[in-house]
Amino acid sequence: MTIPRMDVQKWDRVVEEIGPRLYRYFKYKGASDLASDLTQETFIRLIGTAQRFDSAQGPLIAFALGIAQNIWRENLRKTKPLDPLDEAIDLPANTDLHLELENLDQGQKLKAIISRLSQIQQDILYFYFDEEITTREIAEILEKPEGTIKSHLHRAKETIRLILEKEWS
Amino acid sequence: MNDQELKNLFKSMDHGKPSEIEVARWKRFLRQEFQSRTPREWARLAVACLIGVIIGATAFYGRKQQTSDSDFSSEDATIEMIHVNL
Repeated sequence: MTIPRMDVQKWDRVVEEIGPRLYRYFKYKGASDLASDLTQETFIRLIGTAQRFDSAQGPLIAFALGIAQNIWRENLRKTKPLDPLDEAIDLPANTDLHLELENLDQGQKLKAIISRLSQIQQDILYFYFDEEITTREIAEILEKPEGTIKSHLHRAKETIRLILEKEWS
Repeated sequence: MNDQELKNLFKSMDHGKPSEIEVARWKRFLRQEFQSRTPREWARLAVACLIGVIIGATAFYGRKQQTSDSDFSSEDATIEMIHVNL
């Protein structure tokens, strides 16, 4: 899908196709009430940066999610300052976590674990598992080397596996 | 737990979906955005044209001025000198 220029009908189709996916991303990030407004904001930026989109570099959703994750970071900065080490932090060895996970279903457990990961790991997991975007495209979205993305992905998966397997045993 | 199981678990998470009203609101908002952008695009085009005209006119008159200056050639100057000496 390409970005139509000033064609309202075509933009309606873009909204229908990627709007719900952007909305889900913001919900996943915890923007319960803001998800709709942030999706709208993403579309406005998408119009403004349409000329930078190159379909050879990846799908439109990947380009739009790149804008969305920037908007989410800006929103976080407004509400609370980001930890400068945020990208380096892994899940802390929290002894309360297992107590927290009791009585939760699988989905809720996964949500609770993911919410404790760093922002970049949360993004990578979502792009990789939910949107099925390749690590190369994720690297483009997050403007990081592909090796860094793979390393974050590996560590995030290991963290989730360890906690869940401990829960099940 | 392998990658596929993790993926299935991930996909089973419900992040919700927007209502039709919200999708319609985005469409309406984008239409308004386009309407407000169209006059802006025209204004930008008009400014670009104006700058083009100014640059073109400057270049044209600049060259004309140079041509009229060089009309008084060295040959004319020599004839002038002969007349003076005579």
